[in-house]
Amino acid sequence: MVIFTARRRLQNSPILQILIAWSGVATVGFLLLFGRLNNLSVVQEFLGRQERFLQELTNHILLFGGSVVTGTLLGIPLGIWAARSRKAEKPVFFLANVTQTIPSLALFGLLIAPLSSLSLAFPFLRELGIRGVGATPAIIALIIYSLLPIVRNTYVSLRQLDPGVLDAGLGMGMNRLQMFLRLEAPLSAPLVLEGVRTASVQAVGNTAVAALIGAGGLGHFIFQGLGQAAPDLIILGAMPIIVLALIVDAVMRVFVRAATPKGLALESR
Amino acid sequence: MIRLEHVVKYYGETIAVDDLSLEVGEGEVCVLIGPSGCGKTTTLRMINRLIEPTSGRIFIDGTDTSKIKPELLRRSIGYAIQSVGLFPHMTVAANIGVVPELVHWDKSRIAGRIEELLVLVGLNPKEYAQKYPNQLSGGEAQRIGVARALAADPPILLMDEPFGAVDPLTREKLQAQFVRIQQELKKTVVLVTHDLDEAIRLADRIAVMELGKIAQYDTPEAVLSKPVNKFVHDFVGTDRALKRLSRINIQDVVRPAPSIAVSASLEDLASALEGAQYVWVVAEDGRLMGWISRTSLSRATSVKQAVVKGNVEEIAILNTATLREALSRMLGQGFNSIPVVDGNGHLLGEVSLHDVEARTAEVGA
Amino acid sequence: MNNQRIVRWALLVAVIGLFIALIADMRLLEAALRFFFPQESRVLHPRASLLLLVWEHLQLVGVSSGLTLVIGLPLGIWVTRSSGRNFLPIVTDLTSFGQTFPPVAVLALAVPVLGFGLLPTVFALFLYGLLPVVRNTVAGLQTVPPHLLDAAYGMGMSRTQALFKVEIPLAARVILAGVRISVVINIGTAMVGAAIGAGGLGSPIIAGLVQDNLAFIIEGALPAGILAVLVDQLLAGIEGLFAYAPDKPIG
Repeated sequence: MVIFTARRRLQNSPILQILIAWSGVATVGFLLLFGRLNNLSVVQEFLGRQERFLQELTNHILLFGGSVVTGTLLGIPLGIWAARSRKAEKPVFFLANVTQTIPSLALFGLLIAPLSSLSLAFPFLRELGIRGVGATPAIIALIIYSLLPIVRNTYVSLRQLDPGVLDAGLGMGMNRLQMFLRLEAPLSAPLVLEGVRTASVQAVGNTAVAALIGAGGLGHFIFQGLGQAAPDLIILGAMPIIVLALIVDAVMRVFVRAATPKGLALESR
Repeated sequence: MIRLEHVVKYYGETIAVDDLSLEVGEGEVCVLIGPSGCGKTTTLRMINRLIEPTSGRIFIDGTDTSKIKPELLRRSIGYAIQSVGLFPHMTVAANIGVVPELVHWDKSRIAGRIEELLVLVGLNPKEYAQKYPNQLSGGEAQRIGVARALAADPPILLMDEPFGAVDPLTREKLQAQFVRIQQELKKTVVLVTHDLDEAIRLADRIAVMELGKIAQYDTPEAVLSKPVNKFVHDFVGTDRALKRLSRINIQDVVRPAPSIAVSASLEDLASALEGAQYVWVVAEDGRLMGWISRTSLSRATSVKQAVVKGNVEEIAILNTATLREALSRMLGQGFNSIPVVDGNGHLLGEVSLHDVEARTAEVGA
Repeated sequence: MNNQRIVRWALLVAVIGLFIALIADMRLLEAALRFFFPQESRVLHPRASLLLLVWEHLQLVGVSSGLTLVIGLPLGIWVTRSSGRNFLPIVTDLTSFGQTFPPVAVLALAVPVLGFGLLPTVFALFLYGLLPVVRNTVAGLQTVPPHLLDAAYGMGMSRTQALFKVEIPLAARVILAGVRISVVINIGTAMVGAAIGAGGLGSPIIAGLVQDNLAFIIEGALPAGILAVLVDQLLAGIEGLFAYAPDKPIG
């Protein structure tokens, strides 16, 4: 409660905001470091599996990070295309919207079957490590999920652009590329990055489910804990995922702020 | 009917309304006018208690308004605002019917009233009742706003820049309509505006306000001819005489004018032009066609050939217009008289510069 | 309703009917699955019929969403009234903070506290579902143009009357959008609920993963995907009924 009210008062200073919000986490962190919480059974579990934990943590980060990056690389061009072409608009958004509604576990499942048969049919895929279950369907699904927020935000930010700005640029003698680089890109950057933020936070969560299909990641501990009815294991998986999501959210917010040109008024939340 | 007694309103340290006392008689139109921040809107909104006075009392028909529940008070007062505020999720009919429903009229009475009001503001009920606000033009929306304010037949009407949000042409029509409606209904009206011409046209009495106080509260003629201090004098502007002319309707001034039909003979033309410089020519359907001047009489072969044709809209003026417009047209076109026509273009008479001069002198220096 | 809308609704109802028919009678599905997965000895998850699974899933989502509405709507309304205004910042902060939490983590954390089965699932779904509903209720109510409220009060509506006759109808579309988001997310999270014994369409998928049976997986995944899309379209259609201005383009 204190953190929230303090945060409100410091709306104007993001760095200070983040510092205060994380003071809570930092306290816990310090306590952990100095072995004060060693008696907690969660920590016991952790200490017993340190290596595995780090491995899954890395997996998790690679999974969601890789898919968000790919999603961004695919999504921004798609969004630009949808904004520029009337014909592309409807199908792009229809597909993106529909895929977004499909539950993650279902999408994983739907991808497993075709991938399985593909890898059976083409052995060289197996060599590459692309199999029916595991990371492959997870990555594909994660990429698909990160598309909608990014495509939509790219589209909206381009559409919202004041045509007078582009008109002025044209009048000043800029060519298409220059207009894009010096006008459209910087002006739409904040909104697009907000889309990346949404996609990233979502991806952290969806990756947790991916553990169910053998992709690894912190979800592994959750489901192992559920299977063994071991609450500490569950917490070992769930807490870091939540913390990870919060960190990703905070970092992305800083990026969004950084990308907002001084002159633009953007809502703080 | 409405009486404000020593009303004061403070916002923190700032005084918005400073010991204001005002009385509006039944059936009167009182216009509050003044520069931004003078407290006119605050005063208006204290009458229906959207704002509560810091001190002072307001009486309606002898009753202290602070003694009545605000909602109930407001249901007996019509309220029309500049942005109109039509509810976008309700049809025009539903919008108008809001207050009657709040006071529990029965359905058939409400339906009848809706139709009555739409006709009153000049809109076809069959066409407009089921429309939604986003399908209306600015002028239509404002008229429906007024209809809505009148729905429950309140004795009092409060209006805050009700005609402000439309273009000047529409505003004029709306003002004319308001005058007509008020003549028929005789409501007690308090209206806020920043447009002096509007105030002069609509008010029975004008309250010129400055810094929360009333500088002068009098009839428009009095305010224009006898401004009580420098502020009012500067506020009404130096063309007071001209402004007064906008209070005079042409139909009060129009004189019969010499005219002949286009089918008339040359003899009739000659006799009509005896003692006159010109004569108006009227077509078969009665519409004004143009004129013939004395100088062209000698060369005339027939009335039809001699007539200098003119477009009715360009050369004539409607009898619903004010004397001020007539003056403006005459000066603009370089004539010293102008024919007056009705809505169908039929000649009713004429008005001349001489008439304007005479009237200006009448109203007083 | 104009023609386009009628067509859309008719299509939606038709597809929903088709869907219900297909899941009720599993022979078609069974035949299809056998065709695609000849290697499996069984193609349909034995624990429960598909109809029952779908019903379980709907119950999970329905009960939790119902609770969310019963608590979330009044909360959102209260926080925008003068009596609750003090709590607005905290509630706003909490809801946006809470939305960064992955729903699966919330579900998982409910287990140590509430055990396995229906209770933690419904509770986690209810809690997580509150966030979009409250946030959208607040947002919707806050974007009612103030001059409309001025007109409403000026005409003599009491605060309550203005709330029900003006504010809520105008905020309805945004609020329904929040409900829609909440329900769709819950359909997804409920899938994982199968892992903690809550039943639903996640159970054939998990069984399929465990037993390495692709047919089971599809039996769960396909209806789940279709269900989610249909519910989404249905709610979107209801939302569209509250549009008083011409629909704006996508985005």
